Parts: sequence; C-alpha cells; structure tokens
Amino acid sequence: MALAESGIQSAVLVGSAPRKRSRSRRWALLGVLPFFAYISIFLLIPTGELIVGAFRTANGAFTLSNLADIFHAPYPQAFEFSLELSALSAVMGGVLGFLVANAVLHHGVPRFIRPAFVSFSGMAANFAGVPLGFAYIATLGTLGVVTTFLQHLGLNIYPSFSLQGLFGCALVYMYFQLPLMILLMIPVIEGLRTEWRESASNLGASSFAFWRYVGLPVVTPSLLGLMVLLFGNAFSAYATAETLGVSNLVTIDIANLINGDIAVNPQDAYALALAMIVIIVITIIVYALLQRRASRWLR
Amino acid sequence: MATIELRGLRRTFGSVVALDNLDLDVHSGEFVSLLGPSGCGKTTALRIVAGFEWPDAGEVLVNGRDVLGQPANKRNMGMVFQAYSLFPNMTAQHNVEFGLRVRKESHEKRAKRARELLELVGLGTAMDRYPRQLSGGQQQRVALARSLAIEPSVLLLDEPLSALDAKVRVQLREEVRRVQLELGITTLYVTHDQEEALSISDRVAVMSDGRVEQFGTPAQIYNGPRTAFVANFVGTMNRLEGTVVSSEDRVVRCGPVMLSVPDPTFNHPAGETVELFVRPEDISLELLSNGNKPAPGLFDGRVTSLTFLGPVTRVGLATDLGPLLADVSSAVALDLAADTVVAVRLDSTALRSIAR
Repeated sequence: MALAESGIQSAVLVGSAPRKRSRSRRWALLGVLPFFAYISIFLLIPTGELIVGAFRTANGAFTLSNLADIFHAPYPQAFEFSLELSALSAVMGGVLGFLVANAVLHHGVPRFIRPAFVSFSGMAANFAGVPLGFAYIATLGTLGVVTTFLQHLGLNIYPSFSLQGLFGCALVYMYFQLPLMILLMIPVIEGLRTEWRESASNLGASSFAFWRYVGLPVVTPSLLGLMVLLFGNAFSAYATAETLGVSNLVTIDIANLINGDIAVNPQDAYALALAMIVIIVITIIVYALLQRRASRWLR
Repeated sequence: MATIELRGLRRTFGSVVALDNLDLDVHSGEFVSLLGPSGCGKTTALRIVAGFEWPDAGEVLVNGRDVLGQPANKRNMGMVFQAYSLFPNMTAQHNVEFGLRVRKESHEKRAKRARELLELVGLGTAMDRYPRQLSGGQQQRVALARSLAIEPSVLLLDEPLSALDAKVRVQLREEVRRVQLELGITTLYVTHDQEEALSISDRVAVMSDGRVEQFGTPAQIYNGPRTAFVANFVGTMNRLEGTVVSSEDRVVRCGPVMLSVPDPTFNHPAGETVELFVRPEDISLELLSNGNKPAPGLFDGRVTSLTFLGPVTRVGLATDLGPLLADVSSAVALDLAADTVVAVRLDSTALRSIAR
C-alpha cells in the first residue's frame, strides 16, 4: 500500500511540473498580447490592405495595371534616385561611421569623450524630417548662411551643388545616417577582443596587419549588415527630402498620389508602396544573413 | 635561447603599487614561474616583458639588452594568453601561420612549420578546424603552437590553463613542459596555482604585493619557505607560535611543549617570539590506549575532523599547541574517529622558524 501510494504521489509530482510550465507559458503569452495587437493593427493589417489595394482598380476589380504603371515615367526615375541616394548615404555613413567609431574607441582618446559622443550620436540619429531639412536650407540653401559666407570669400558652390541633387541630399541624410552607424558600430568594434590585438602584435603584426588579416575580416559582415540597415533607413525617409524640395523620390511620389498634389491615384500609390516593401524585405533578409555570419565570430 | 633580467621594475596604477622594485633573473632555457595570489603583480610583470605595459622605472634585459624601447611587435616573444585568443576567422593552421605570414615567409615554409608545430602539440589532425570547432584545451594547444611558430627568443604564458577543467589542466601543463624541454626555450609562466608552478618549473618566484618574496627551486620553496607569506601560500602549513628558550640549542617553547628546532637557518636570540611552521605530512599520529600518556617527545591530541583526500586523510587535531592538521595514510585513518585521543609526533627536522 505504501509503495502504491508513493507511486501515485511520484506520478502526480512528475505530471505537475509540465502543467505548471504550460500555465506560466500562458501567462507569458498574455504579457506579449499587447505587442501582437499593436503589430497587427499598425503593421500587418495596413500591409495587407496595401497589398490588396495594389491589385485592385478604384472600383474594386482585380487588375495588374497598377503594378504595370510603376514601370512608366516618372516612377522608374524616382526608384533610381531613391536607390542611388540610399546606397550613397549608406556607403558614406557606413565607412565614415566605422572610422569614427574606431577613433572614439582608440586607447589614446580620453575616456570621457566616449559617453559624450554616444549621447550626441543618439540625439543626432533621431534628428531628421522638417527641422533637419530646414536647418540645411538655412545653412547650405541658395541663400543659406554658409553659402552666403562662401560667396563673400569668392567661392560660389551653386549651381554645381544643390540640396535637391544626389550629393546634396546625401549630405543632409548623413546627419542622421552617420550617428546611427556610430551608435551601432561601437559595440561591434568593442567585440574585437583585446587578446586578438595583443596576440597579433606579439606575433609581429603592425596595426595595419591586424586590421587586414583579423579586424576587418571579423567586422566586415557586421559592417555590411549595418550598411544595409542604413540603406533601408534612407530608402524609407520622406519628410527630410520633402522639406528640401526633392521631387523625384518614391516616398514623395506616394505622398503626392495620395494627397492629390498633382493627381490622386491611391492604387498607383499602393503599387509603389508594395515595390518599396519588396526592396525593404530584401534588405532585411540580407541584413539578417550578414548578422548571422557576424555573430559567428563576435560571439 | 635567451636570458631575461628584470631590474628594479616599478609600476603603479594610481595609488596602487602593482610592482615594487622587482628583480628577477631567468637563465637561458630555464622555465620560471611567477606564482602569487590575484593582484600580486605577476601578470603586470609579464605584460611589461611582452611590451603591453610600461614600467614607471626599471629595466627589462633580454640577452643583456634593454628591450623597453621596442614595441611588442618587434620583441620576438611568443605569448599564450589566459583567455582564448585565437583569431576566429582563421583555421588552426592559419592561426599558427599568422606570425610567419606577417614576416612574409613563403606559403610552403608556413604550411610546413604549422604542420610540425600542430603535430608537436598533438593536433596534427585538427589543422582545418576553426577555433569554435575546438575545445578549450585544444584552443590553448593551438595558441601554444602559434606562439612557437615565430621561433621566439622567449616564451611567455599568462595563466594559460586557468580556464580549463582540472583534468585537462594537468594533462596540458605536462605537455607545456614537454614542449619547453624539447625546444629548450626560456619560459616565463604566470600562475596562481601552486601545484601547477611547483610541478613544471625549474624555479619559482613567489610574489606578494608587487615583490618577489622568495625565488628558488620548487623543493626550496616547498621545504624551506623563508617568509610567513610563502609558508602560508605554498601548500598547507601548521603555524605554531613560540618563544626561544635557548638560542644555542635552538629550543622553542610552544605552550607547554618544548620543541627542538634543528633548522640550520635558525638564528633567533633567547626570548624572541618566533613562528614555527610544519607541514601536515610531517606530523604522525599514534593511537593511545585508554588512559595511557604519550611517550616522551610526543604530546596528546584529540581528533576534531577527518577529511578523505584519497591516499591520505587529513586529520584535524586539538592539541596544547593549538589546532593542528596531520596527513596520515587513509588505511591508518580507518582507526580514527572524532574525539579519538592520539599521541602526536612532530618531525622536528621539518620544523621551520620565521621571526615575527
């Protein structure tokens, strides 16, 4: 009897642990419910609406003509400019951000510089949109302070330079791209172990040889991954370019088609947005793949 | 092969003195360990030799030449670190080849040398593996092979085994010693593990508070500690406090017991308070029949604890001299239990005296 009782008791004990686990899992799921609700309302439902809208006429009938429209002027030029601008600002931001982050972490730099730099970068990375666009118009616009000052020195940057052109716009985007890259690159460079540097030095390698054979190969997947992130960041930017007066950007075309500044055509806007989503999804996949490769070495 | 001389090395970090006028001579082909607790300055000394730290004062001479003016990458010293330091983007072979690659050696020479060294450390079949595919012990073997590939004048090891589990540690320390003897390379080894230092070194420098407390062979350090710190840090010691009764006859009174100290270094005037040290293995026990007194020269003790250590059992004793530890054969210890009264015999030839 005692044995039987003990057998039942142990069976109950064994069974109770998974039951407790599943109950705590249910509570945990309840905790993340607001997140899923938020994602559904503000991301999944609008995306679904957008995808469906891209294949419908104004009357609700199925069509492929909206998608066909994005291959006709002015949209291919808008995509070309958006892609060029995003790529240029991502490469410039990526390379400069890497160099600056490395400089900030250099042994010779006083320790108090780093937190100050990180704080400033955190703020600057979020300074975009209308205030940023206006700040640049006020400084480097045709009548900007710096433009006028340079004119007094006999240096006229216009008309070869324009804030609405590729390089001008990329320069403005650098204001938020560069700090973002610095913020994200600092932990990557910190992931390079001191022992790797010291081992390389001990084995006769110069600083250049360390970066050539160890440092760069290890950080390159992260570096490329972060550049892809900057690309996506620039590709989806709107307000800054709108304030600068850029006209041939996909996000601005979408806004025009919805707001009716030139011609109201929400269906074409849906199709353009769908194409943007495809490009963003590709960048996310590339980013994830590169991060996976990076984490293999920087774990 | 090279000699290393450290002359008056001093290094401070703010108000903390890491090295305090450190002097040390390492002979050509010798294996010397810097042994001490955390914060005693042993790693700082090694890093100064390697060129990763600079002293506030002093000299580091390799083959009689001061190397402090040279950067780390020009010193031609091999170093194995405590943390795993293999380059993660290279295979074991490419890690070993690295030093030769930056010296622009030919591909054939690099590959041949890497193969030889990986075979020397028993990893000839793991040449194509990346560090993440190797165990901790294997990674440290590759690190050792990598440090030897450049044919360094000196080999520096900074607690290379501390991250490994006990069994691998013992196995690998013997391998480090085998490789060192085979190549005859002058080696400076940092460790806080006394067993490790005593088992593989030609000489051991016991460090405390940035200074060398004692420098000698493992036997000299173990059997003849010259300071209370060395006596306490290396191995287990019983400490007895006593007063010198006769300087000529070297007799010390410890509580009610008079002890004769044949230690030839005994040089204390009568009346001086001294500390006597004796190791647990130099104390033997005899069972006492009920009510019997110990024979002359022996004193009685009561068993307070028994700790099984394999071939020996460590017996805790309460005696008139204070608490003592004795190591007895585990077979003998079968007859002992808590509160057993025993006769205690101190091997007086093993008694060491240190002035307080």
